[in-house]
Amino acid sequence: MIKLLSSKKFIIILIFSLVIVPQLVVAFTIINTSTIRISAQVGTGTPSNGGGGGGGGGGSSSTSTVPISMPTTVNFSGMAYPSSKVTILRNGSVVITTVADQQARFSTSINNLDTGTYNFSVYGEDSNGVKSLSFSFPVYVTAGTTVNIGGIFLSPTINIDKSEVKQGDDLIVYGQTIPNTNLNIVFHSDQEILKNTKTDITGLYKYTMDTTPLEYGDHIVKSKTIVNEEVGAVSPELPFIVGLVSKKKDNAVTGCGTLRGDLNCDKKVNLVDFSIMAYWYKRVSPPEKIDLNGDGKISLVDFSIMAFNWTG
Amino acid sequence: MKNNLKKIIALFIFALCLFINNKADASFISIKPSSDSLSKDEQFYIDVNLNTEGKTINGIEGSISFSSDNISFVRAEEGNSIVNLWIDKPALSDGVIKFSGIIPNGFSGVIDPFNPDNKLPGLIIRLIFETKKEGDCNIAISKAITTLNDGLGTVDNITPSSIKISIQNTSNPYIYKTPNDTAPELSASVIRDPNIENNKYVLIFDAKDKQTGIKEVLIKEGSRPWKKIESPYLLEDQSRHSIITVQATNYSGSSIAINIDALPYKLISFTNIIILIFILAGLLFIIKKYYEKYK
Repeated sequence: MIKLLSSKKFIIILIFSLVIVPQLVVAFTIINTSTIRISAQVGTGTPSNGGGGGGGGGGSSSTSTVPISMPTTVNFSGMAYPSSKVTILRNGSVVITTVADQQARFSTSINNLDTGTYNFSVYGEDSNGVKSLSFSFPVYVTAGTTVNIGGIFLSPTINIDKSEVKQGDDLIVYGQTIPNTNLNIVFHSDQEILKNTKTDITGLYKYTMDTTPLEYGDHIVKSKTIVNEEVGAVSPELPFIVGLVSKKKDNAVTGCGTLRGDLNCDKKVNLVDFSIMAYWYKRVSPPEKIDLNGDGKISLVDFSIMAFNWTG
Repeated sequence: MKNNLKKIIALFIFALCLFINNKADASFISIKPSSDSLSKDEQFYIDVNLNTEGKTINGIEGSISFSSDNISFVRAEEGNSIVNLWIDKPALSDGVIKFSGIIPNGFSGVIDPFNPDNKLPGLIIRLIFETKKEGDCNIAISKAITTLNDGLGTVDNITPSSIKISIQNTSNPYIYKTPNDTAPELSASVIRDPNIENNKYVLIFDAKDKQTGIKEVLIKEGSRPWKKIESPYLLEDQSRHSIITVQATNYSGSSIAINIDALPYKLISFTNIIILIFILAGLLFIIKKYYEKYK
């Protein structure tokens, strides 16, 4: 046994197991890393230790200054959709909304914060009122600092014209992201099918899919923005069925029921909806509409589905 | 034979490494006490922190048990918590501290803007205890789950953890106070929805305090006495003709109050006034007729 343990091959395998395997596990866990840049500056007063206040973005930076009372600011910047509404939430409440320019760029700031941990989140709404996925940034903010959260790239929005499509009929996939960019439309079936399209000057895209190669049954579709030959952002996934008849999708995207967790049908998921669900928590026979996962009770799982769709 | 044994051992180590790494991927809760050395009659706190190990979670539920022979639970402070909305505010129930809440849009670790690549654990709650008698005392996360921010509410179990605290046979009476120089934040509104209390008027509110947390929220409806409430709260005055005052107080005694206006009384419409005049005129006419007849 001692001989075995001292053999070269065994040592190589041992090193591989202890060093390489953890790296592989981490490498496969951290997929689709974003290019979001977060940095901070302390105050903007007279520097006491060299260096001036740097610009935003571009990795982390810190500058020591004379501790004078300076405003605490968090700056947000990134890409949404041309002329679209971008909403910033602080700890679940809407704190500011801004409008992206024609090139889809947005930037905004939140001032006068106390020291503490804040959970900021950002989402956008396209020209059809369809919401992007939310990005969240739990940040520790200290008084007198400026925190820059840059390089935010909101996910493309996605919609389809049919909830069920007759095999062989066309399925139209459409949405919005940044203008004049390439997109992958990915159909998850038994085999993944990848199609390419491009957005127009307004960031809109539309792809007509011939469903002949898709098998009968459940499928999902999503879109991926391609920037510099890399995946920039991925849309939410939309389910559809390939069957014997075609059924139009209920495109009342702003109607009640399309945004899971919008219990009072006001096109938002916020404190009101949370309160309605909290009322039914631990009560018997909650209404079907409130029981989001349909298990006959209101539990943390239902609140979690609501928290995912939170709009503030 | 030798070679086979080698292969078996190598495979075993490989599998063990994979297992260890998978275990490391589970979120875990750490418990950090304010002091390792405690005396009798001394208040101390433990910080309950969540490390998501890179996962994005949006819900947490758990219970914390402790040796009630040696220590007693004083209060929970949820100021600075990563949990934005409590489903069950941390409270003692059947000898166990239970809590559950959500983080809208998810949490994957606190970003230190001076070192953005390093994500820090997030504080769930600070629990204040008081020592009673000497001896060793265990504080343990007896049960906890998180839900992933995946739109499905996928449940993810948390690796259990515990700490042991030693209480010496000396007395050190001490009352713990979290420094607090901020006022609480409060938002409240009155809603009606068919899914709550049969469409009756209900008050909903969100009270937060960045440092110590909210001690209590009180309501005053018109001339009615102050009453401690939780959200959602069924209003006593369903006519909504009372001014509502809602007051939130933090553990350091700072308060904030907001008023919600009463609904105005409806003015009598022009048509109703005309009808009333006709009725009065008719009554006067009848009275006059009777008066003349019996005169």
